[in-house]
Amino acid sequence: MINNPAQNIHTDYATDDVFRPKDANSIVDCVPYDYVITDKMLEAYYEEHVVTDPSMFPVDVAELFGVHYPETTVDSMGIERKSKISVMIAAHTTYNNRFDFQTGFPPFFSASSDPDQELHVYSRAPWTLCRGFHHAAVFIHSHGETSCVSLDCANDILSGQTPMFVGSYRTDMASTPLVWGNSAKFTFECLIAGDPITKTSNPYAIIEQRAWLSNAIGGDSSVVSGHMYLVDTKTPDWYRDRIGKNLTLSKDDTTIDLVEMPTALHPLDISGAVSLDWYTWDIVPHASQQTATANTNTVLYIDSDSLREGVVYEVGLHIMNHQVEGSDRHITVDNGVLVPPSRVDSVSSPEYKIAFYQVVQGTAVPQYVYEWSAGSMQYATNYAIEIRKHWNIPDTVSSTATATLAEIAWGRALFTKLGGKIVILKYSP
Amino acid sequence: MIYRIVISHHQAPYLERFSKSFQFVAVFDNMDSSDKDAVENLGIQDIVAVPQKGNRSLNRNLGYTLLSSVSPLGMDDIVEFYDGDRVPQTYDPEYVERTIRENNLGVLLYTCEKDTRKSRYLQGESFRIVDTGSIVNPFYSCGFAIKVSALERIREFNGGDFFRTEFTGWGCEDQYTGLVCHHLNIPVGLTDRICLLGDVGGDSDWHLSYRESLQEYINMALANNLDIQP
Repeated sequence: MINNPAQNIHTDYATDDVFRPKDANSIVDCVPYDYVITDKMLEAYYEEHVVTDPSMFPVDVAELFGVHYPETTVDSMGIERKSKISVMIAAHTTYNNRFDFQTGFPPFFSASSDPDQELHVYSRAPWTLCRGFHHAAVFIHSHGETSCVSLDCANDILSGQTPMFVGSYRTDMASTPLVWGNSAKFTFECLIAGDPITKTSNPYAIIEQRAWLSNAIGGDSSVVSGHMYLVDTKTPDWYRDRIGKNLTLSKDDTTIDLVEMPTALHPLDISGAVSLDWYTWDIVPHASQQTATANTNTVLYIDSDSLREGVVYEVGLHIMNHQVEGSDRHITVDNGVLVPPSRVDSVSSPEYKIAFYQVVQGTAVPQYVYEWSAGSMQYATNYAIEIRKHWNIPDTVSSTATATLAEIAWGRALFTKLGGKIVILKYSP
Repeated sequence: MIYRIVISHHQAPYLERFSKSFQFVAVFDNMDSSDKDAVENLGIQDIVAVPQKGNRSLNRNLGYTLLSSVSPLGMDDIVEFYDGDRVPQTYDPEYVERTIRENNLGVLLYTCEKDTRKSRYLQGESFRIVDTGSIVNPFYSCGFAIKVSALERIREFNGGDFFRTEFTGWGCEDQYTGLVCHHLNIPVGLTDRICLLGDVGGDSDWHLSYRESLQEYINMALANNLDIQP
């Protein structure tokens, strides 16, 4: 385990920060963790507690660490207790990692009224948070293609100003919904690495997160921010076959599909929130495609039936890609390696849309698909926003060029539903 | 007769271009030294107000109160409201009076040089009577003329205010006034014959609290049982 407190790294993400899993991947090994959960620690815990008392599973983290806040100011490892605690789960899945950060007597991390308390949990392996929403703030930073966090916190209440932040490849939620109070803030992130079509055995984060939103019982002013990243690990041919097609969800909720026309979709249910920021990875033509045409439509579909009458919603769609340092140009990623284009391919004006579907019960195909027209404020017949950004692949890029994850296009819409119809109140840009 | 009320937010250099041939009230929002110099140069110090910062509804209402106190207004008189930098580029007072009279208008909305309402509502015509009963409607407060009789009906409906002062955010108080006009059957016209300096309608400025302002707007419209056409 790397523990390098001398390294100056920004790890204290605020809830409004854009948390990027790729960034997390690069820094996570350098975070000076306060606590580390290892296989050996879990082995000892099982032998001492679970074998004789099955009720000690899920793992009582307070007991695992031998730390009970706030009775001690210095824990058994000699580390001074503080309001922000970082925990690294370095154990594997042998013990079906299920952790309870709150049940101990007293718990590992206090459910006190201290608003500055933050619990940060890092993990590479799948694990389950069983309790812990009562903390002032919970931040989950997972990384790696197999990372997954399951939220099995039935009846926990995410309320008040409590932020819950999940950055994970996949987020699962128990069937019992999490209860949201007013003003609750929940931010999730996922990193999708792999083939979203053929890898059907592994449901993807977007699916799980959609279910998350559907299951959650929303407070009136709760805020959900969802970020999704698609990281291409495929060959250029894979992309070439799919350029110019829509990225959508298929209706059966088991795969992400790329389809030519917006049919058989499963739009996003945002009934649990009034605000949503959605980040997605832009699929760009590979360099070898000399006459590239852009991926012309990236669409976030929202179930208009899920909207509450008279509530003003704000949705942002953000298109991410690698940006060549110091320019407004972008290069592709192939099997995790940045690939500079070999020549100019002008890719003009890709369009990004947020569209609304009215889902009719009992029919596979949405009844209406609403498009928009040019202009700023739209009438009710135009139900979507448009993002345009012209960008070019550069003439030449040094093979040693550096690139950073950047937002290359974005769109934001304010809308409401009145009399059953959606009205766009404002959109940008 | 036509009167002018100009709401100036550090836009004093424009004031001289409003003042010619009109009796007008300049209402300063957050007055500074440059505003004071302009006031002195224009000789309008008797009717200058320095109201609450940032509340344009309050400022417009105060402007009307001040104008009423210095000029006895008749029901057929016309009051023009302008934002401080929306100087008329083309203007014809006879056209304003005739258009309002012949179409029995309560309000005549002016357009700006770059104005999305032209393509959306005028569609090539110079003048049209427009529907302001939609939650997104063409009633913009940057520049318009209103008959005193219509203004007084709106004040009565709002319990004394012309513009509702609860709206302190950007872009809601005028939309609400449009809904009220529709609710009170006050005819509203839109013309490009009066062209104002500047752009409107394509504002890409994103106000972080705008969602909350819009929610207040819709809540107020629903609470007052305004007939909203989506």
